[in-house]
Amino acid sequence: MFVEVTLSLFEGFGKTLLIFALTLAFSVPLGLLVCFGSMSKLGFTVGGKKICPVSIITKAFVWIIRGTPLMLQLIVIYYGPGLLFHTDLMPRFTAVLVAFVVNYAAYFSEIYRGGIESVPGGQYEACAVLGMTKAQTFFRVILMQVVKRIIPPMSNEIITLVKDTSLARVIAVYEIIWSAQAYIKLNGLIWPLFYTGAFYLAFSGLLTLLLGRLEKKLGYFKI
Amino acid sequence: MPQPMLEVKNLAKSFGSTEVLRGISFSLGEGEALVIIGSSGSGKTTLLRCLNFLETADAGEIVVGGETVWRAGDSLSEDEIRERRLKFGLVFQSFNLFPQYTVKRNVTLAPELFETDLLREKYGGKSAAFREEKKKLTDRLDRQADELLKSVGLSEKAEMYPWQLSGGQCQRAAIARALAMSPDVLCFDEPTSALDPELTGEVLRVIRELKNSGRTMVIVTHEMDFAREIGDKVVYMAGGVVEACGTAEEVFANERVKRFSHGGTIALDD
Repeated sequence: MFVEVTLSLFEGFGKTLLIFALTLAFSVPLGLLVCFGSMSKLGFTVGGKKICPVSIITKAFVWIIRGTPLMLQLIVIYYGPGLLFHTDLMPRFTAVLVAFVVNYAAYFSEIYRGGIESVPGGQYEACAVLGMTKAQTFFRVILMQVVKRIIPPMSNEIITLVKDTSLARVIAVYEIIWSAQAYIKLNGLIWPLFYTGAFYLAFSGLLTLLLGRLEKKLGYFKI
Repeated sequence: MPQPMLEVKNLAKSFGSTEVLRGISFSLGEGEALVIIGSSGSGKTTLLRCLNFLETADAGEIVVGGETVWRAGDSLSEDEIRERRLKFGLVFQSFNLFPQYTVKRNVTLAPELFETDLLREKYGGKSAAFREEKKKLTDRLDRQADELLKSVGLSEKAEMYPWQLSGGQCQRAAIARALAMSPDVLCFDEPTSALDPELTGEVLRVIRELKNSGRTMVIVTHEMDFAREIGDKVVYMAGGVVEACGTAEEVFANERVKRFSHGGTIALDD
């Protein structure tokens, strides 16, 4: 029985890992875009006050995403379009990815913003007086300092994502918790559910090690 | 009379309703050192920042070697500003070294980026000629950095990172970095204000050597003895205007400057 449960949980865990990897792959770059949006100074001046529509809209978006539960977002994205426009439901897995990517991009964008804003102005000025272009300044000098600063908060979010994948269950995506729950219904067994904890622990432990190693690698300089 | 290296004419700058510079004019010959003294808030730093295009003045003109690099009303593209500001170098109070690079890389980075762009324009980025020239450039900049670091006494620290250096060493590295872009006029914004007296000495020694090698410099400082010693010209600024200007002897003989440079004691006597 133990072997059977383990194999079945591994199958569910495969889906968990897939959600995790794809979410990360899309939300890390998308977050940078959202970050540039919320820091955008594009706009016009009305009565001595500067209004930046791009920044306002992006910030409102981040507020909505961070201000509502991810579980609710999942349900809205999966059922919402069908209820509003009477379209067919999108595949469950796609809905999960959309919800997770959007949610994590919003969180990442704020981490990036904090990282970029914490680089002292003197660094930009030093680049400017040395004749560097804006692109050279960002990619050759600023970026590395931002990366170093955001690794700890990003690690935190990434570990949270491992566990958030379990929310996919609410729209019946077959991930590890779902596969464990099947044993409650079919065999009256509760321990497979507890057993899933070992999978999460092992994976987040591995990630902690990797991220710690990355942090150490960037320890050669101090800011 | 030989043409001055740097001429500043009637430079004015306001932030909102605060007038920080109210018509600053001075000129400086090649190889001369101009020292700017004055209390905090007198506009010294803003003046340096205008010279280096970190701020845009509202009125006036800046001429380097007979060539107008900035005039009020000019609308310069980003590339033009980039090219013209290289007439000036700036050494900051807080060093602003790039923490992720070694001392040597701090020195070579900017000239490498700048000159690689020029090579890419000339040869195209993928040609064999480009790669060959790039190699030569890297070697040349490498040697230049070695020489510059030797001249500021940091040969041994070339492969270290800024956090491993003392404040005085950081500032000397920053001086080498500014020199690597071969500016016509090197500006210092209170280069020793973040250093204790012992470290101040080693930075001042480097500036003194630059003076002896004929470097044209504009130095904002609170070190009065140093100002007196090194300044071919001294400018005393107060309230955004040049209150006194001339040789060190002339300026330090001025009553208001005396009161400023002896600050506290006079105030107590009153």
